[in-house]
Amino acid sequence: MARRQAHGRPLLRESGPKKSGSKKAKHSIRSTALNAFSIAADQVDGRGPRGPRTRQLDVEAEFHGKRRKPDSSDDEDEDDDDERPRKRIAREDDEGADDSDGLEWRVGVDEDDDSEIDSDDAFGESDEENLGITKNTSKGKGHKVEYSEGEDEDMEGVEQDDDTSSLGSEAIDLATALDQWQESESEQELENAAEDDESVSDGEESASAEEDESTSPSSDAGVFDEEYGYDDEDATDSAYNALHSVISDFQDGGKNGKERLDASDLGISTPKDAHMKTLKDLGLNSTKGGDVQKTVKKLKREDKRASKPGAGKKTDAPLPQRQQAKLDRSAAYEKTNETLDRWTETVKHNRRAEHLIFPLAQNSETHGVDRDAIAPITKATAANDLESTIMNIMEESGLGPSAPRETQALSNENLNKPSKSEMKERNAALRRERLLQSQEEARAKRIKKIKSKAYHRIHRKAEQRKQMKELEALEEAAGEDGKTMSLGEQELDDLNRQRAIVRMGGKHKDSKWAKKGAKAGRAVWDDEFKTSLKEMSRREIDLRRRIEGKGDSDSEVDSVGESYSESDADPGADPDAKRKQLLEEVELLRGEYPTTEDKLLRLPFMQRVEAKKRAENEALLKQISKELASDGEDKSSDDESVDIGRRSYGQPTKGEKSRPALAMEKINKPSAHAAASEDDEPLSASAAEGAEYGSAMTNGWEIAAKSARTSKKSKKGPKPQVAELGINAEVLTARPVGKTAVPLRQASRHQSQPKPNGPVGQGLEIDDTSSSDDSSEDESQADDEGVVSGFAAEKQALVRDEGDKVIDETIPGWGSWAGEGLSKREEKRTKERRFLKKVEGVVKEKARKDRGKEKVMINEKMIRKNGKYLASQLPHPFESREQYERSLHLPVGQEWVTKETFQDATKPRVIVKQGVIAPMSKPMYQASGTAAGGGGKKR
Amino acid sequence: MEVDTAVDEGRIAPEKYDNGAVAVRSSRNNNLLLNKKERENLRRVKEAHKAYGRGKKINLRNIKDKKLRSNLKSLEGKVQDATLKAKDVEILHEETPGFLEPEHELERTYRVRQEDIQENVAISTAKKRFELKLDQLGPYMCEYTRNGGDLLIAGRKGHVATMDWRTGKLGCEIQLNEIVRDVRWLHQNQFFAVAQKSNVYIYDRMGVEVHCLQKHRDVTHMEFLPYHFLLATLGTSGWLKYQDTSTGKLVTEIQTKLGPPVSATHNPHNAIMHVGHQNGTVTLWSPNSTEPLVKLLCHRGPVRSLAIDREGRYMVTGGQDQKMSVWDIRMFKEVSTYRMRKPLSSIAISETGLTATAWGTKSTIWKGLFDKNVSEQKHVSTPYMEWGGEGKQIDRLRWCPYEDVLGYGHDEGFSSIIIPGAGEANFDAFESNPFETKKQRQEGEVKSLLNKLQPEMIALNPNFVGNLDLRSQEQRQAEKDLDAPPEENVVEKVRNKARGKNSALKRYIRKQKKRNIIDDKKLKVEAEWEKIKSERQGKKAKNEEDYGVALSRFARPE
Repeated sequence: MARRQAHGRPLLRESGPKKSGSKKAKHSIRSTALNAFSIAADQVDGRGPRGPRTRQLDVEAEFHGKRRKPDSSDDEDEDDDDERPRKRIAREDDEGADDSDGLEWRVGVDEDDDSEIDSDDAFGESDEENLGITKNTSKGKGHKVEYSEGEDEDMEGVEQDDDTSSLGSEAIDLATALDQWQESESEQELENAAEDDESVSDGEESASAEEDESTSPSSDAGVFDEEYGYDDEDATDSAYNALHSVISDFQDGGKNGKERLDASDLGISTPKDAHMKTLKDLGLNSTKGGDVQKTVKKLKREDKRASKPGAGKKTDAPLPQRQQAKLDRSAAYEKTNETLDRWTETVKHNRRAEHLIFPLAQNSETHGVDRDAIAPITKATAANDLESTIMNIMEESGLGPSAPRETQALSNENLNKPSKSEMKERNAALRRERLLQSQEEARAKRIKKIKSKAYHRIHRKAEQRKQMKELEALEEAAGEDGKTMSLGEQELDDLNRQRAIVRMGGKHKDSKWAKKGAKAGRAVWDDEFKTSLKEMSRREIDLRRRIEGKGDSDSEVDSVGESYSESDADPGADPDAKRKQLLEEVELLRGEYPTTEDKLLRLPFMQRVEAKKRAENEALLKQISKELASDGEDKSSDDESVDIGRRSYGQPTKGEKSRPALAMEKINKPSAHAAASEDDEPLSASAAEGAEYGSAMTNGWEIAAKSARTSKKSKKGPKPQVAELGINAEVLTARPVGKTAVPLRQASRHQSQPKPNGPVGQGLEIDDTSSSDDSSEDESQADDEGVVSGFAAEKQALVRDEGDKVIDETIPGWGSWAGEGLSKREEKRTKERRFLKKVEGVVKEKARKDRGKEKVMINEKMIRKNGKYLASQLPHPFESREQYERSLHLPVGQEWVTKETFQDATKPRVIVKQGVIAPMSKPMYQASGTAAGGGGKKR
Repeated sequence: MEVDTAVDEGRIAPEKYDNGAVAVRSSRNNNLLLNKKERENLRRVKEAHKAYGRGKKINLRNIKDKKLRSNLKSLEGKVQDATLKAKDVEILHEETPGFLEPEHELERTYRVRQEDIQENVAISTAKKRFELKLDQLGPYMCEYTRNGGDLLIAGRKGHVATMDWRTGKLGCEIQLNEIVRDVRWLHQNQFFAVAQKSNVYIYDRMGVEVHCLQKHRDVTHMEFLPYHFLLATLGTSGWLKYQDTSTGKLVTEIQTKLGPPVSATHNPHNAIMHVGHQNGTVTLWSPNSTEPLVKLLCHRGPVRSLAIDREGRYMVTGGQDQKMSVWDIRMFKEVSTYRMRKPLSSIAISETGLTATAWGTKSTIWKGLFDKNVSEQKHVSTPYMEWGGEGKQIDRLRWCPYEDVLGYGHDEGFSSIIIPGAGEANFDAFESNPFETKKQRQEGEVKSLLNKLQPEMIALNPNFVGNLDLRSQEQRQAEKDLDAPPEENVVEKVRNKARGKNSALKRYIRKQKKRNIIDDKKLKVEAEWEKIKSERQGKKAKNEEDYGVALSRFARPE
């Protein structure tokens, strides 16, 4: 707006005086010819001042009015004066473009508006006149005639003009507004209809409309927007308001307008028409006197005002031009700012971006195409004919996107329910497979089981050891009073016994499985069944023994069926027994050679395979038996070597003869073996054990290690043994545990160090860190040489050297002694006068890195040469050392990071690829949260 | 590659109530609230950080400056990204490492003999086991190059030979007729140093004597620091000397004051020399300090042998007291001690952490003496493999890099045996390439020379470069070297040399251009010249503005 005015005004002002001169001359020439027209123009002119909007919309009317009434010098119209020429020219331009009848004028409130104005700047006033004249002469003949015919027609003509022109302008306005809001078509139609009506009313009551507009600033804004061609989202609000105001305008004056339109269309004279007619009838039209004309004009005006709904109110005088321009400028400035602000986010972002790549992705052809995932095509999303036809075909054939689930479900159901024939087939196949599975394989399985038994055995040892430890802990907790059995242990024992009783209760013997097996005679042909039966019977014996109260407290035993479980015949002999048993089993397996009954298996290639497998099995068996045997040897050697312990001198507590440990060992072994044999009598075993125990106790040697070992093997430990003795053989009195416990624990500690199996024999020895006597020996040896003490002294010196120091800087006075070797008294005397200086060292003693580490001495002095590579001060942006040093932590070189990271790190900031680099077509980033922030402020 | 053991996350079992509610102990670190994908992602990040992490993150919240905060945030993002990518790249490792594994509890890997292995491996691998019978010229020492391509053996009685051991091609063979105390490859297979009776000599690959280092007298131990191009020698007199092999300068001479050294090695992580002494201590040295950085009391007797793992985390020492101890040399803590049958004469640690020890005629290879992923080191009871016992007194053993091969130098020559799982399965060609061509070798030499580290950069913490100097101003002043000559002003010097005002600078630049050498001096002069030029331009522009183009030439020069 501002711009236009700026252009327009000088034009006017320059042409002002000129205009008056030339116009007057012309006027005199044509005064008579255009008399009727001038009256009509007066009438139009008499509508009063207008706002910018109406001015634009009703240019036609204004144009005519002004042209025919050049010498009007009313103060009221001054503002209009400024506007008029511009409008006029615009109109004429339009006219030039129009067809000959000159009635179908358009008001230029479209995009071409600006250009029109430019063109009208180019015209001078005189040109304008000429144009007007030529046009009038060439095309506007009929027009003139019409005007001259009478006021009635003239008015009608004007009205019609208004109608079309304003309709055009409004249509554009609404179209844009409606585009933005995307209302339904029907609504638009409704609006159009309303528009028609409104335009009519506009012609009549532009003044009132103007009033309305001036009162609603939002509508003005809307006008601004449209004028500047902002089809901006930000401006939607104002556009919306504009639309509303337009509609409300219409509603205000709609009724009258409609009426009038109808009336005029029908040729029926409305009261107003009647009034005009009366004027005409009065013959006032032909009167030429200026005074009369003026009065008539005034009368008309009064008339009009009286007839309007908002009559009586006088419109405010328009703002002075300068002020108006200022307002317009500020509004324009804001608008411009708004548009520019849209870019700030993008500019900021680009400034901060690590990499910029040109040409911009935004301008590429493929921008916005999602390449990540291809969504399945549906009927709705089919892009072209081919796709849609394919979709149709697929739908028809039941393969479309809606179909598959059902079919899948169906097929699943089918799969789940195999038919009878299928089942039969499957069974047959299974049977064949079973048959084909070689006997050798079955054997291999059994061998593996034995192997796994060996494995279990080892693990079991560890388990036992652990439990033993727990028991010991319990013992300790119970205290070292005379109690023979701790509470926990008693409980455990009871529990075991109970469980064993339950398990013996025919549950297993008469189980479904056993019965079924017996019925089918499976024992005859099924090896597995046979072995498990054997296993069961063995366990029965075991359990029975346990019920009697001397089994072990193994909780693992209740593992059923196939899984391996061990029965501990008795603690002293169990490993041997187990080994024996395993060996037996191995032997059994060795002796077993499966006979081939099946025809298939007699085939040569099958036999070959079988032979190979057999060889493998044999090898495995051999290995196992070897290992088992070697283990036995190891053990025995262990037994022999284990006689460690303290020799206790003096009289044995009980008057029994002391026997060498080895002898005892010899005695023990057979008994243990006896116990291990499967069908042993529990009583004898326990007796043997008791004997062992007793002898151990009374021995001159406290065979701590031995007892520890035995305790480790059995979970029971010494205490249950004692209890057992009490039950079974009352030959020996139970010895209080408290005494045995101590050496036992000691011994177990000795033993807890894992001993390697192999390397010992090969001359490899592994450290016993706990062999304290050894290390202490070493220490003493080393200390003899003064290594340790020397090291400590050196460290002391270093600590002192690097620590804080106090320097005596006293300068002795006259006649007083100074320096070292000062007597106490002298020192005391000079105490007050002493001047001590504390020099801070490199590091305080408490903060030393080697503090508390006897074997370590760390030099904490700063190494000057390294200082060359230190940063002397914290670089600028960083706030702390951590931040700075962290920033150094990520290396750049490709030796330390992956190729990708390296390339990322060394990529240039601006990358220009080949191609045309187009400017940014739109802001890439929206200011986020501005709207939200504004809302927050309002609230 | 190291096979990391899965770390138990130690998840807290949630308390459950009868209404189905789950009590969450800590809201922040809770895996229960995450879905599977997120948890997986977390785990991935954690693993990556464990293997390739670069220290702790910094707290971004208390940074006031917005720009700094955003910069550091992006930096943290980059660090994280780099870590994850490093982890992801692991899938590109072609080879999978593995060890001998017993099938069951009764099987022992140390019972496996070399013959068994040789039977069961590929022919090309089987070929790597070989023996060189050289029983005339005394116990042999052996060394492999850094990429494992070449082997250098030296008999005590002066027989030195190099070879491409894979192809069996002899590089050179010389008889020095002098006692050879130690031998070492330099940065590549082109040169090697031999500590002879009185001096250290450097030979090229053809066996031609190139240098005689006369300042290194009676050297018994040598070490070469490949990234610094330093040859460190220790003589019977107890002097530790560093010689720069790229410039030929003697960098430092340090008196250890601890008598003749017994053993020496260097830490590949930080290039610190570890020297074992008669009194059972191990001292750590850098060329920048005349005092040992650290002293460790490792044994109650001479420290016979030393070895450090490639990451510089653990040191294994063997003493005369028949013990072997494992030290954490970042914490300076003894993590475990083992008692041996005999004092260890030589120790070597492979890339995968296998520790080979030699004692007398036998040798034992240990696995799992240390594990960086556990807080408490295990006490290993059985060795991984064994070798020897055939009457060959082992002098030195060395692992061949990137191969499952262990080389023994003994009094009857040299033996190479196969130890499965010893070598790094996936080599990094940026570091060293076992299959490098001649061209690659040449380029690598140039690159490594360009990337050469200065001796002043050696410190216990090699990442100290660029860190902030935490000394106070007073301290700095106190420690300032007052005798250092003042820094000379290069520009002034150049200027004063010639008569004209600025032509001297210009001429200097012109002359230097021909020589095409860019050094500090030239850069300074150029910068000065640029400054002068821009000043002149500015003045001219100002004059033109003041007086106009035509008259500006008459402006009075200031």
